[in-house]
Amino acid sequence: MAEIIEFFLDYAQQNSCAECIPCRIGTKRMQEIVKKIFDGSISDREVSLLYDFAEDIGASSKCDLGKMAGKAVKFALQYCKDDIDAHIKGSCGHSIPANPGWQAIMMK
Amino acid sequence: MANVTLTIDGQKVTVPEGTTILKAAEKAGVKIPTLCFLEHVGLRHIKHDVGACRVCVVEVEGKKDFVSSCNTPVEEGMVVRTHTPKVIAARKLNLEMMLSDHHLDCPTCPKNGICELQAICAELNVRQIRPQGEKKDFPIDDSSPSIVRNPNKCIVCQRCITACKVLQTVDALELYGNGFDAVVRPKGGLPLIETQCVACGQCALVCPTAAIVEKDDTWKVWEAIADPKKHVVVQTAPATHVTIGEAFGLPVGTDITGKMVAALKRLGFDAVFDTNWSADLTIMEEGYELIHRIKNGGVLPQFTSCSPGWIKFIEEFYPDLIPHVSTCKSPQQMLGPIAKTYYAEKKGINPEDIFVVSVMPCTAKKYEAARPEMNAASKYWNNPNITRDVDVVLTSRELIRMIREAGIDFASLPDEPYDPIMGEGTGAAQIFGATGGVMEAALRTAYEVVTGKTLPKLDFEDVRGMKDIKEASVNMNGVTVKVLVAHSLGAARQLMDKVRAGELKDYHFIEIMACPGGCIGGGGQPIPTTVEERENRIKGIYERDKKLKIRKSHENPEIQAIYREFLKEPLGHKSHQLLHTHYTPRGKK
Ligand code: SF4
Ligand code: SF4
Ligand code: SF4
Ligand code: FES
Repeated sequence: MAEIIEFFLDYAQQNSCAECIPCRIGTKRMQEIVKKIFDGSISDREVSLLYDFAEDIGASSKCDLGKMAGKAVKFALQYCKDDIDAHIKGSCGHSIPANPGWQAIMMK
Repeated sequence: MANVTLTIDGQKVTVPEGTTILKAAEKAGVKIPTLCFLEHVGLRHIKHDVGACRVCVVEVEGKKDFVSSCNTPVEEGMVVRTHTPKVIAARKLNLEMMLSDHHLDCPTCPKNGICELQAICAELNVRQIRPQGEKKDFPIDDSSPSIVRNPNKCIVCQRCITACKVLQTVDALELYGNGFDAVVRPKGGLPLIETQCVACGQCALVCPTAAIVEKDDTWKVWEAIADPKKHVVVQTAPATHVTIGEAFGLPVGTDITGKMVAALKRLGFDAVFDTNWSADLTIMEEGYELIHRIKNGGVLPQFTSCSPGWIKFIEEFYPDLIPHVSTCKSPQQMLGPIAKTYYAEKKGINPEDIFVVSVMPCTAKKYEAARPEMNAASKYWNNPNITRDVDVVLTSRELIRMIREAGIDFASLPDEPYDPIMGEGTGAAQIFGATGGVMEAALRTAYEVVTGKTLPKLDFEDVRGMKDIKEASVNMNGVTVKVLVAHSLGAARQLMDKVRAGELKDYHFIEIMACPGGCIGGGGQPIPTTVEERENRIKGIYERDKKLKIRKSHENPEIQAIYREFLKEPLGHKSHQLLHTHYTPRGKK
């Protein structure tokens, strides 16, 4: 799940029209925090900030791209917390099986 | 139009269909904070509501997400909450995000104290910046003599794009790139000076931060004043007479002429002159040029040439129409060479030592003074040590800063008079500061010169006011002279397309001012310069005109003197040497 939100945020950053602040800067800041999940350097403060970001970006972005990025992170944190915690500890739980075709589908 | 009733923070309010939540809230006495929204960009019909900052978000019952109130129309029965904890938290976090990508050197920032980003953070009680991370890092663009761009302060609100593209139709700026790396930049990523930018500064007036500001030349003036060898003279544009006071707590539009002169003397200038004087000179030259064109079948309609933003615009976009433009220099560029010739002679000062400073409402005037051909005094004396006709141009904002730096208590200064030789200005010159003013001043003189009669009524009401395009006609000895006035370059473009299509053949004279409202709305004026400020300054301009003893340029005794003693006659040899110019076709080949 951590990989999926990372991918989602990269996608949002690359495609954000940059018109609104939450999508333009917020998804970048989330991206920066999410990267820290992988090397375990993320702090509790940053996890809680990630929650706040997700909530705010999901609700206050101008269009669905930013809203979806926010909501994706929000749901991941809500429903796949185990997997993310496992990542932070350095042991990937893979609570959601990797799907090799997913990227290809999304990028079309 | 149908009415819509909704509830805002528990209050019922009824507004016409199509009203935004923001406006409806205002009616209910609820203030929703905004940052990127601008109700009028220069003119009443130009709105900026792209919804970029997300500071104005509110909760609407039944909707999962927030909506931005600045651009969401009301719906029947809507229930809106403007300051729930969720909304307040979202506004703060949106601002924190913005600040996390902002070079926060507020104490040394040119916008310190008049920055809208600072103000909104204070208003919304933002006390921390939780998100941290990469910050954008772009080079500062100071390629233009008028404008400095610091993209690191840009919050991508795009107000400048609306000003440049919709109001001015110059379209020199663009939002480029995606996501975090996006930036508002001159088209094609070029330095601003290489684009079609006309240096009007309307972008700087609306920029909420210091991402676009005027180039600060105050230090050059401090140094010149301190140099004992230099004889530093200063001229003040008509629009400044009713604006400088704003910054010192006086009501917008107050006539502060006498106080401004006193302040300039205290700053240490050797002589304080009035651009109103050279505006009267412009009227003589330009009025005679018009009469000459009408009598001799010259190119008509004649266009005014006082607004350098407009001059760059016609050079860029309508080079084929350049023959219509009056060859007269602007008042600023008339006073410069006269200071270094006529005045220098009369006072026995070496023209090399004369340093001319202008105080202008305009950023484009900096560009104008820097134009290579503006060195008439040097050519006149055949002396390369005399460089520019006008050495430094200060905007109103810069003069205000110098007055503050010097610790002058502006509001309590006594009135002092301008210095003789180039200090007398008439009411006709005064109204140059407002849209329609040059036209009205020209008509006051042309009518009397052509008919030999005294004008029954001096006020040409038809060419006054904030309407984009205005029209009037006057009968002079059986010829009906038809004139048009436009302000803002969007309106100028409408007229130019018609001239190009041959539709305005029976018009004689067209006045164009690049800035909305004319010079009082110039890109160098105090911030804010809203439509209301523009209107109040215009009122101040016409009040001062009414108060002045002499209200027609040709009756100015100092103008009569310079023709008697030096120029001999309008459009004469010396006039051509010093007061007339030529233009350069530019634009995409
Ligand atoms: S633009 Fe405003 S917020 Fe930014 S540094 Fe300048 S004063 Fe501060
Ligand atoms: S100075 Fe005028 S023309 Fe140049 S970018 Fe700004 S608004 Fe556009
Ligand atoms: S330069 Fe100023 S007006 Fe233009 S987008 Fe940036 S902050 Fe907004
Ligand atoms: S003021 Fe409405 S989004 Fe900026």
